[in-house]
Amino acid sequence: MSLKGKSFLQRTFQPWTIGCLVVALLCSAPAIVSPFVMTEIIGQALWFGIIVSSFAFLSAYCGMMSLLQTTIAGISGYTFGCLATAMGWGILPAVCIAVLIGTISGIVFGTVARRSYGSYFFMITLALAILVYYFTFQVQGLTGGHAGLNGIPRPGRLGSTPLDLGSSFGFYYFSLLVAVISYIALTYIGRSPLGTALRGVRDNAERMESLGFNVSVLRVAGFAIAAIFASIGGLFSVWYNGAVSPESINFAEIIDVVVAAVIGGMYNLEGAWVGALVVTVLANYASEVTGRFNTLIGIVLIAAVILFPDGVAGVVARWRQRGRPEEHG
Amino acid sequence: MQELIPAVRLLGVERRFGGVVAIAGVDLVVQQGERHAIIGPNGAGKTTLFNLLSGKFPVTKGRIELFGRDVTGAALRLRAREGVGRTYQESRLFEGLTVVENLFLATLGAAQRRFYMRSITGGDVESTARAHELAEMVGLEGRSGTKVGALSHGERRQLEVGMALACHPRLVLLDEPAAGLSQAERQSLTRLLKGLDSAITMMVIEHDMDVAMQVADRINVMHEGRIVAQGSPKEIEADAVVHEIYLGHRGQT
Amino acid sequence: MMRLRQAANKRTLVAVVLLVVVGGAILLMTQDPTTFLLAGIHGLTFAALLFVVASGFTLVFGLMGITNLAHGGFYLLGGYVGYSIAAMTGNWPIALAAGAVGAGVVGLLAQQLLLRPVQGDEMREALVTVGLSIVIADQLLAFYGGYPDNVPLPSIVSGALELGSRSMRYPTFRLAVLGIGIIVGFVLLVILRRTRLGMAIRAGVDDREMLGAIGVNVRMVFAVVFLLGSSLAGFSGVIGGSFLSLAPGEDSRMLLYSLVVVVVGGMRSVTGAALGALLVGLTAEYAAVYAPTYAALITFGMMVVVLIIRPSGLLGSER
Repeated sequence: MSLKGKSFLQRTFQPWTIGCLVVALLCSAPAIVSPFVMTEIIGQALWFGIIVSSFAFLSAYCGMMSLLQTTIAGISGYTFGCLATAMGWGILPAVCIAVLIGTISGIVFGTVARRSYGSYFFMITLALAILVYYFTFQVQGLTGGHAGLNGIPRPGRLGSTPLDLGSSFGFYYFSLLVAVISYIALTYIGRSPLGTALRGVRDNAERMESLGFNVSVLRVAGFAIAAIFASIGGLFSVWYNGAVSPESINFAEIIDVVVAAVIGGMYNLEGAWVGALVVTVLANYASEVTGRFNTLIGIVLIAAVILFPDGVAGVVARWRQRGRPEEHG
Repeated sequence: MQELIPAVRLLGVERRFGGVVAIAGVDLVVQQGERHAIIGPNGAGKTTLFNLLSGKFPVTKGRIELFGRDVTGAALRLRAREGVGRTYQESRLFEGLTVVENLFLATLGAAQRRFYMRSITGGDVESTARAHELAEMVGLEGRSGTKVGALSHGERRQLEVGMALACHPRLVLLDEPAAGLSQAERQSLTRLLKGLDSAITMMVIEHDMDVAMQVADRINVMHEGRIVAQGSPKEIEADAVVHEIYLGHRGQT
Repeated sequence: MMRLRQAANKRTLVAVVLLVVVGGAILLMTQDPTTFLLAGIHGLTFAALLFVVASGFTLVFGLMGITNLAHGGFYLLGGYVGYSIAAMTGNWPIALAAGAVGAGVVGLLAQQLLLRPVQGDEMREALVTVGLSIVIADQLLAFYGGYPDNVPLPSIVSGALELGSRSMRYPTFRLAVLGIGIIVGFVLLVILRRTRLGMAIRAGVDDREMLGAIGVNVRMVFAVVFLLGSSLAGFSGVIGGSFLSLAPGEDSRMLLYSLVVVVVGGMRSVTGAALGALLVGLTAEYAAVYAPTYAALITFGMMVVVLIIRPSGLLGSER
């Protein structure tokens, strides 16, 4: 990408520079903002963004709008909670199994929904999400039914080092690290041949079939990749809350992810964290503005969908396009 | 003996859609390396024939053999692996991807194992090089980084041809490759097609008589789901039946 | 070869499922006929309600391609409006009309102001309806509170009828609902088959792009259909509010039922909605009686199974 023909501002704010700046800012956040903002706002947005990024990956790279990401996060959280509390497993093995189970669920869901497209796909993911929601009430033994699982432990000291992942600072930096890794991993996958193939399926699944690709396998693979990250995000969710219940995966929670993705921009990954931040801010401060938080979220969603279909990231991308030689017809 | 196995054999092929008979019984043999054109008025069933050949939907009756193999029931994906490349009447490209990425996917499609092994580690140098090679072959090397959505109509048709050639096909099905092209573009397309490896079997649907006559060894004329005339370009030009079909349909192409 | 095998596999699967269902039904019926019959009638009457709700959803989806996730919201809105009007006037039919009109008007406004700007983009349309459903649900909660309410019934239908010779008493209103469902179905079929609007709707369901090409005023037809769809939702909301209840959560419940009905029956036809409503209504009631803990799983499981076998519903065309 040549830097000719761009203004100074545009040249300076190349993706890499912006990325490093942002990470640097986030690293120094604890020194700048209050502890509350650090943990409740930025910290929460960081790991929530991981779940949102799994949604954004599916929608941007695979053309699939899946309402199951929150559910998969919940399955991972439930697995961890169950293993770590009732069965007394250690944190690390529980983490591995939780992510594994979450990913396997993703594969199962992906297999079920693999032949559906567009609205039908949307509907089947909604149906599956609701099914799991009701299911969590049924298997009381595993999930604690209505009440859910409580007292879920956080990771604590890292071996014999002085790093305490359970402390508020430790957890913050832990979230930041994993969020950055997730972003880099998803971007890398997006640029790999697999990512190109997924985008091919997104643009024209039938053409991919006629070129010799197994579209079903590709769609399930995309779903599985997203599920890994949703599972990771789900772990942070139960660590943050110390608990999980059916209400962690109810319709409102599912929608929060969608709203975040829409605000941030459904067609790219950066937007996921931007959207997550906006939703987190709204959730925390909206009650000062209005008593009806849900109405506000609904209005924000409608406005975002109608006015900013590409979300915040789209607006930024279009600003950066100014001055570049016309690459669009 | 390799030479005697025809590239394509259609035996008594019929295709119905509900009550409509699209293909009413076609027998066709295309030898390897031959260049066939399929011409005929709109609605004659030409594209449907291609769809049957490439496996988009199954025949209602009859048998299809590709390179000696019965592929009558085989899925779309498997036909591609037999070495069939195809273009479409309405461009079906990957709009959000660049020219090179489109060709890259077309190249990869045929190389399944390599794809799955290298899909995440990335940097498939061979396929990327081939994609650039194809872009050059069809005259699009200057636009290789452009997204398909930004290409002109003629450039899209050129890309289509490139996609069809990507998998080193043994059989190429071109559905109206010249549609909408300017005079100059048509000439370079004709040159490209004539210059293709002589081992490649080619079937072209065309309304443009010039292109069809120049590129093909044999012409098949379709009308109402059947092949009504077959022969060399000269023979077809002189054929009375063909004239009758076209006299009634002139101005509809 | 493979395609034929796939088709045969599907047919055997369907045959097996049918066998299990019929066998199970016979077993249960012989065990306890009264319960079985009662559950059956419950299922039929519930199916009638589901049909009225789902028909509105299916019309909008079939013609406009919009997955109206606010449909449940319109149901609840109509129900509450009917509740308020019934409280004011004491007149049930007027409350019924008010519910239909209220939901219809809100629906029309929403379609004109919010959905038209994103017309054609299925995903954005669905997202707008999601936002709308959230707003409607929240505002209704604010206005009417969280406790369940009920639309009081006129005395003619509030009793129970004697059924058959076993002196079984059955709530009259539920039978009335069955009647209403049949009438609505009949009216919709007449509209679809005998009016110009109906012809335009059927043509549009088949091929949306052609509709404009043949000179139909698409904007008008879309507006009318959305109005009809949301009115049907509001209409059914008053009915449902009369023998079920009106409370936060009913909107999601009815939306989900609509989705299941429409998926199971075929997403684009009113007859499909009828078939789906029948299947879902009966399944839901029988499951509630014979396997209450798994009722929800069975109902939604059905939807998932159908979407796997036929990604476009049982009666829908393969798209």
